[in-house]
Amino acid sequence: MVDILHSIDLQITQGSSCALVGPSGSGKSSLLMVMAGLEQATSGRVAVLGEDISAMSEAELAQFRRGRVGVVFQSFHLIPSMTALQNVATAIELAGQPDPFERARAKLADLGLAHRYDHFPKQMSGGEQQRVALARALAPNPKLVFADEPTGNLDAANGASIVDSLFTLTQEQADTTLILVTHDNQLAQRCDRIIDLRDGKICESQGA
Amino acid sequence: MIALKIAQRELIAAWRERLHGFRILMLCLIFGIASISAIGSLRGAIDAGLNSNGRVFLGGDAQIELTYRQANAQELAWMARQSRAQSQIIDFRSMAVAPDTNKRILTQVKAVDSAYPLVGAITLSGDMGLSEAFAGQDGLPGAILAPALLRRLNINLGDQVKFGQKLFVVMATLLKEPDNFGNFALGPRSLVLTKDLDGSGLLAAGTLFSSKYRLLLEDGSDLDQAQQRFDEEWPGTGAKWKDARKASPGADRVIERMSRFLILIGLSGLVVGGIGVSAAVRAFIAKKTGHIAVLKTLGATPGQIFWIYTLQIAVYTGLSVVLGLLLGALAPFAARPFLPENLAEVALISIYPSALIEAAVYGCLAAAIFSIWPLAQTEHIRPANLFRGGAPAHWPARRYLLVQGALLAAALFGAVQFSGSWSMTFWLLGGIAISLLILAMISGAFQFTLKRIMHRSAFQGRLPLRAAFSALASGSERTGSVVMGIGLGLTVLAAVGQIDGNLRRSITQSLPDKAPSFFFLDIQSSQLPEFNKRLAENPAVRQVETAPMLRGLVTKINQQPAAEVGGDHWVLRGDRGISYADGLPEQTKITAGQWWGRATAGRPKSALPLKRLKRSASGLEIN
Repeated sequence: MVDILHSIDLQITQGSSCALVGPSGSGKSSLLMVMAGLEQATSGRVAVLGEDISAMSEAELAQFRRGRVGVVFQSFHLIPSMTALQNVATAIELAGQPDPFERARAKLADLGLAHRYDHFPKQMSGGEQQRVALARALAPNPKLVFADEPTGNLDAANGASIVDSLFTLTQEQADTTLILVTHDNQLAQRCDRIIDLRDGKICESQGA
Repeated sequence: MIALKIAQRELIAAWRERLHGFRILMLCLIFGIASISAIGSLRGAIDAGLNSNGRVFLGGDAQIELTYRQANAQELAWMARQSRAQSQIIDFRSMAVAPDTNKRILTQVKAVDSAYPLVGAITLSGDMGLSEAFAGQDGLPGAILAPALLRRLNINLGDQVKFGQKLFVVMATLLKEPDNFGNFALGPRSLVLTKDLDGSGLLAAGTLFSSKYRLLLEDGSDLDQAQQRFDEEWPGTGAKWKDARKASPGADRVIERMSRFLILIGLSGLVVGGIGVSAAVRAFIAKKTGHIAVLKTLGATPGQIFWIYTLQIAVYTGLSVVLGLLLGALAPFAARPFLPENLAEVALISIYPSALIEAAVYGCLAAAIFSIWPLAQTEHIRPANLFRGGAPAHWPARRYLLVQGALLAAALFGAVQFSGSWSMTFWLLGGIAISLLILAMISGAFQFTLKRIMHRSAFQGRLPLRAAFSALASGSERTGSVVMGIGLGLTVLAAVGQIDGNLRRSITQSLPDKAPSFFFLDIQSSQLPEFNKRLAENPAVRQVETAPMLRGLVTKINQQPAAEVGGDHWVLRGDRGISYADGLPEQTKITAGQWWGRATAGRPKSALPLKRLKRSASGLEIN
């Protein structure tokens, strides 16, 4: 067994943005997964949005994430058998929220993808796919948005556009907290707080 | 509900990709279901044909058969009271002789009366009527011969033929004899009028013949009640009752056993296909690991994920069932030209829902049993797999194992119900289970060996070989599926081939060593010295064995009526052949008790197939 994270004591203010930085293998993605309820810590306590998720079963964690947690991946991870609209609407449906297709259309339109509703992921560019992924993460109005290297697979122009959208849209949603993992210092500097991880420990914390 | 919506979206996407990834799954199911439904439909067609033509195949509503005697006046009067028409047939073997060449061929003679046939129509060459054919010509009575007999005797229509001491003239050939379906005969058929056999010497005392009385009952008669009256009036007479409900029990039995066997072979095919289904579902789930992890990230529960993919497999299974049933239902129509002539005439080719339901049940159960394990693996796919790669295989949760166990039990129960044979089903499924276990062990040993030898110097610098062996050694589930699928398929083929080969070899090689070149039946004691003398003069004869033969009924067992002790055991049904000897005949094996001595006095002793009789006659022991 390998200890990935240890001695982590971290509180993040609701509605703020936070960047997790550090070298490869430092535990950034692991910490993100634990905070998002995608992975469970073997020991310790994790409370998210006021709920202790440490002892939740997988089904309970899934229900906890519904509509409250949005995740943007480096590799987009859209469902290739669904159109852009269906990808976004599915997230709203799983959250149990009303009017999934209307809201999905609106969110895609906000991101400039009104002409791509019925296109499949393989018919879109990397930048467009990441914007669909962003729409999917934000459409259910989650309280927490996690982004794991959201610009890692994009060119500079597309990356900048995605980052702008990410910050703008999360700020538009009141009380939404943004936590992102990045190697990009410039991107990290846009966040309210920067947490530097080394060997699974918090090495330095800057900002609020 | 959300599971249904997502499943629907994925199904539409798969349809757009022309079911890529599901073709193997569907083909495995389609062929298995098609073969089982085709066999069932053909059996249904033959059963329906036998049932609807029962009166024709029997030649009446009912038949009473007596061996080596004709009915006495009292019995004839009983038959007349019970029916509105009767016809008597005497059936025996004789030699048909061509007087000009003295050529002799064994024939199965059917001697009939003027009322024959009570039901159905016989077809003769030249559209000749029976009465015209029996009328004969030039003062000789007429005979109707099977075309094969005419050819073997090398005679033509209008020529003479001799049965016993009497000459007949061949008036027609027999083209169709509907009341002979499924009957055993040692030679081609000859048909004459019974009264014309007077003076032939063929129906003398001691002749081996059977007399059959066909009855036409009053309209609306209940065959159960008619048989009950027969059982009450004819006990211990050796008379056998048969009626239109089961006109050809021999053919029924053969067809039933053959179809049971074929259905079990079809089931084996479905198991082989099931391994293919399992592999296809596993590959499908592996391909969808990323999607499942994304859906779980979005908040889908393990239960919803299970149903999203189970619904998709259910739709593909349903589609396969429909296509398989369609093929299976149409197969008998396509196969009709290739059926043996007598079966093609009998079979009422149609759609038989029970056969299709049976195949559909098997298909659905096979799909469920073989896909539940890989579907249960979706539970172990975690959102973290998006970051950390593929999900390792785990044992499914207990609830899935319980469902799989219940499905297996249902399949076993269905197989027993449909095949009608516990022992055959258990032997077959036990054989399949043991084969799969052995094949899994072989697969494991193969992979273990590959892992051990792959680093040897012989593989250094041979990249393609090392890459291929590495894939085999590491892909444990894929390698296992291929080994088990192909291995079990070959096992079934080899087993069928071995059974066929052994039966053929037994018939073609073993039997001639043990069986005599010729049998002579019906030789009277007074004729035996002359018969033996003639054989001794023939240089081609190297060994002659004779055995006395009596025919009789087992009427009592331990001083009780046999039927009370033995019930409806076949040994007690009709007459049995009884031979007798002082010493133990060669190659005879006594399984229990002792052979009686030459000087034995007192009650006559007998040897019986005791083991068989004991199964139904409790308390029957040696002495």
